[in-house]
Amino acid sequence: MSEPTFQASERRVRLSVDESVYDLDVIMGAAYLFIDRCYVYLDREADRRVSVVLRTREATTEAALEQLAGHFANELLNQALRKNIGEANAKIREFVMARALFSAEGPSTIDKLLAELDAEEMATDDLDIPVPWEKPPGA
Amino acid sequence: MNTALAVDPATLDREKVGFFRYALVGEKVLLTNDAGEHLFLSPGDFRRFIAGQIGPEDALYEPLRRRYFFRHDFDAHALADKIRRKKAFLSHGPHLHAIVTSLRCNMSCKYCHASRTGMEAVDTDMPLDVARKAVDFAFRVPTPVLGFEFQGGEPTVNWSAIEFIVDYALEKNRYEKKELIFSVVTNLTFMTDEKVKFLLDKGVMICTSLDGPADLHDQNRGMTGKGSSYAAVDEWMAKINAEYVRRGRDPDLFHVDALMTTTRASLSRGKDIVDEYVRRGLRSVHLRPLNPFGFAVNTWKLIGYSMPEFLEFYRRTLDYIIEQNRRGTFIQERMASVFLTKMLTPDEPNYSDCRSPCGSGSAQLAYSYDGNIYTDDEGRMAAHMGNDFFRIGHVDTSSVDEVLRHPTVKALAVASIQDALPACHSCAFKPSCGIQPLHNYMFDGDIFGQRPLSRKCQEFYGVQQYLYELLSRDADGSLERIFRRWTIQRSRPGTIPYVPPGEANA
Amino acid sequence: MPEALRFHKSLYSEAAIRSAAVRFAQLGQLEVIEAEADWLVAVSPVRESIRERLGDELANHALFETILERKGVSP
Repeated sequence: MSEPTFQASERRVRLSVDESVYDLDVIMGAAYLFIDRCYVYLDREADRRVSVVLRTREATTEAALEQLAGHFANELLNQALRKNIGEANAKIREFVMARALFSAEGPSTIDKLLAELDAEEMATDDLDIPVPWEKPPGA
Repeated sequence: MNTALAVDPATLDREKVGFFRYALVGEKVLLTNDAGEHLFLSPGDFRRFIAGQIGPEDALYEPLRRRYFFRHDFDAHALADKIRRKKAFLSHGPHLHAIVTSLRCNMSCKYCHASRTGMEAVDTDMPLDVARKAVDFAFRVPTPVLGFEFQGGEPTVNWSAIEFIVDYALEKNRYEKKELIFSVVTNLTFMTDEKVKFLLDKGVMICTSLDGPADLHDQNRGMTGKGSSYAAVDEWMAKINAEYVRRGRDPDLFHVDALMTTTRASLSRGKDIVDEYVRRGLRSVHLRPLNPFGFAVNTWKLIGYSMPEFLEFYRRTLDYIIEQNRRGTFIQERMASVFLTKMLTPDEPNYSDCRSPCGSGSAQLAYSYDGNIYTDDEGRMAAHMGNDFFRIGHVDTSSVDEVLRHPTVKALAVASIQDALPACHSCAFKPSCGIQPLHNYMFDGDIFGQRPLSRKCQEFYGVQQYLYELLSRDADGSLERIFRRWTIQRSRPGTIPYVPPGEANA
Repeated sequence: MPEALRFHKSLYSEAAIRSAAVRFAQLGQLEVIEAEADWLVAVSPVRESIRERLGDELANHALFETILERKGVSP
């Protein structure tokens, strides 16, 4: 996998990202998550190559800029992984959500089962903390 | 957002790994999905999972399978059923109807920026014919449960409107047969024995503001004239609670509830605030941050704070609340209990301020003293600040259909569907989070808001991150047991599962 | 000639650029100009001291609106 390269200067780090490795949605998804930390500017460096400029909101050190670039590179990986997970499961997810939200069926037996499990779970409490509807021990 | 984790996307086993969201929380990777399931993995195990290397012989297989994290081994119908249960609120109409009986108030709270007038402004009292039309309108909303919440100003200054609305609604309900809930949010300074009798006779729950011990409370919530507002809270909370006991009601269920607002002065007083609540036998404290809009710059400097400052206060105070529970005193933090219900149970608390889509106009409506209808109480406050975007009708002229299908209600719904919003759609906290477009609009002039910069996003993210962090370190499960207790809302007889008034909840 | 910010057409949407320019209009004169491969935003700030910040904020906002548009969500 082609790693993004970067250059740092005062308050600013520029990463060069290969769009054939990280598509534009991935790059933008990562960029968006950094707008609280930085000002983000994208530019077309060459065909299929995007340059990402991160400009910090406050003065910073070169080491911090390098770390910022590293975190951005991590986030590119994460965004790409999230996209892959979404794509691999798109059809199944569509089916599940459609069934969940648009099915005409009433509450299924699983609701009953879950309610029973809830009741079971709540019946056991090793800590014995008094709760509003229980009288304190000895009361 | 913790961006320290890196996993090569090329290693994903597309056949075995199901749909989920993830984030690095503390030292573990948190996995969540739309059914509200979650699981913590070490970064190493997470990589093995992504690569499809966790097989049936592995101890992690069953926990992952049971939570629907596998693609090749899961029950799609069961998952759909769980998601349906989480989103059941979508089929409910507005059940919470906030009625502003007057804008007049005898207090000048430092953080009350939008919706009060002086005591002389009697023209801001709701006339009884408007009150009647508001009740008629609310009854036309096709929901089996109807909650009326009296707000202000100080709502009790227009006592005749409260009496009328309660009596008229009860009379109307003899043939409408809905489940009615009444509550009043009051500073208690105009309370009398007769009023208490009426409220308790008619089943109106009472909620007041309590910001902490006397000095802090009075500092935040000053009277316009002389006197201590804490003294009124102190006197009437005790009297009303004693009256409940005298009437044989369970004091754990029937008592005056309280809400607190965090100001700069509160930040160093977390323990004092919790102690004050515990001392009064209250079972819930809601550490609510200030809404940051509408203040003059100088006022904000005096009482405001940054979100990191609030979150530091929140974490410290939550730790203290947990400590109280470990010592055997039950008290919950209200916002934590909302998130924990989403995180730890199959249910959705339907908390209007933290759901997707949001509840503005679809779970709640607010009626101003003049009959204008707003998406919610914040929308009404925005109008008082000169912005009428959230006015969606009037009791004289609007039909229920027009109000519920108003373009503003639709816009707010679209702007709060997490799956459509960048950052939210892939956020690990998405299943337990919610969006307040109105808050974005007031803060940023845009109902969508830029998530990473949104103060509400930072607040919700920070609180959930801390809750998950605590759970990730809970080796013996003792904290989870405490947290599970916080998720139980017990019904008051004759009402829906009880939620403190003033919190815009279902 | 005022300084111009450059947004490549393949990366930023026209609607996002125009919306960002409108949003910050009270802080200066902002003119959107179409060039061959870019959208240019000519910036003449009300106060010189905010020139840099204005450009930075405008870029962030243009990115945000472009992403919203790519997701099919319209403000």
